[in-house]
Amino acid sequence: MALIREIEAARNSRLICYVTGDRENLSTRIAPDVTGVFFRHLELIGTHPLIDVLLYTRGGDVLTPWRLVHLIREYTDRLGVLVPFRAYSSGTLICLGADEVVMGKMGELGPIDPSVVNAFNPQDPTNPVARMPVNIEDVYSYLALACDKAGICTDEQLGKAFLLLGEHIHPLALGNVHRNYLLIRSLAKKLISLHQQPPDEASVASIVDSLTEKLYAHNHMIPRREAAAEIHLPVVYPSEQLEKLVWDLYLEYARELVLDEPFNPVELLHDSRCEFRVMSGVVESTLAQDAFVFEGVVERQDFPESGKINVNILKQGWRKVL
Amino acid sequence: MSKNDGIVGNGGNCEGRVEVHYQFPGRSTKYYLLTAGSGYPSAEFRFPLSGPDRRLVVPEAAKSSANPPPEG
Repeated sequence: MALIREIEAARNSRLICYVTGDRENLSTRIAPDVTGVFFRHLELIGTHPLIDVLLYTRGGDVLTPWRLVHLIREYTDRLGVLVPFRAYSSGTLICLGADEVVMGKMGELGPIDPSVVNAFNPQDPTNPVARMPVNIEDVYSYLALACDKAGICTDEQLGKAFLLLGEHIHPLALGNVHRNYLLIRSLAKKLISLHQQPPDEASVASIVDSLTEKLYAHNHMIPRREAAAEIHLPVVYPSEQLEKLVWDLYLEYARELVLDEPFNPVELLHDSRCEFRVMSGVVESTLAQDAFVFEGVVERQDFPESGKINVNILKQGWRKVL
Repeated sequence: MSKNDGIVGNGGNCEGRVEVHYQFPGRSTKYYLLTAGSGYPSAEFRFPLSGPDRRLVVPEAAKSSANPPPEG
């Protein structure tokens, strides 16, 4: 809380920290259930000329940023996002909705070219219950490849290339890809249009193109210099003092959520059965704190296989801490 | 998920030399259960209370700097 107050003083803002943990085996993501959590914090904070969100995430649901940014803007005219480290994918979408993105030296954004999964996606050959994600840009890249490099450019030839694709990916999965192709571009444009001083139409189109298809790899990590100079996002370099405060706060969360160690239930088991409760996400402001908690049971099973460990998650969700 | 990244000496001491076997974590793809909420745990963990319609098992490549030697 002390660091949050110091950052608020340095920025003359009110701060909400949102961390989706990426601890191996027990991570969390941006999802609609966080909206109600933010509402509680915002109601306690009230309106303020500048509200900041400190964000650490590898991404998640692409529709949540739209709702979240709108909700925060009900309480402020100016939204800032502080990025100490990772704000990938739908985290980058939240940044698009901000008037300023404060990035330190370790700050990273990511492309907004999501992979989509639904029940019609191709089956994972090594696991019959799993579905392979399909990256939206990969599908469009395949058709671009057919024309640009293989010279398959006539309607008839492209039709055949498309039919070939449909033999490997279910038509409804392809429909889902196209819907999301349009959705992500529309969301990005609409989020930028929420700025106090939105850029002109050509600049918006350039930002959206850069983040959706011009980076060529979903894992591309966008540092602050690239975000500012090449993609033309409203990036702000923090003072040394502010950068240290923001980084120290990130380190506190990383330590609290044990982000650098995999969650290994076997280590919890000293007897044949053990209950556990692990925190894997945080929303915190000076007035309230919420945690995403997994609760479950670890059991050692000696029959039919000796020494087998079963882990059952019995409850999971956001819990009010303060 | 096994985590066998220790060094195992097999005691084959011969003129001061010790044969050492390295065991690295498997290369296998990690699986996740995608639910409607923020939770995103490994599919190795079960959710007895959630319905099958709310989940989708999604494979994901493990991201690590570790580069174990080829198997075999």
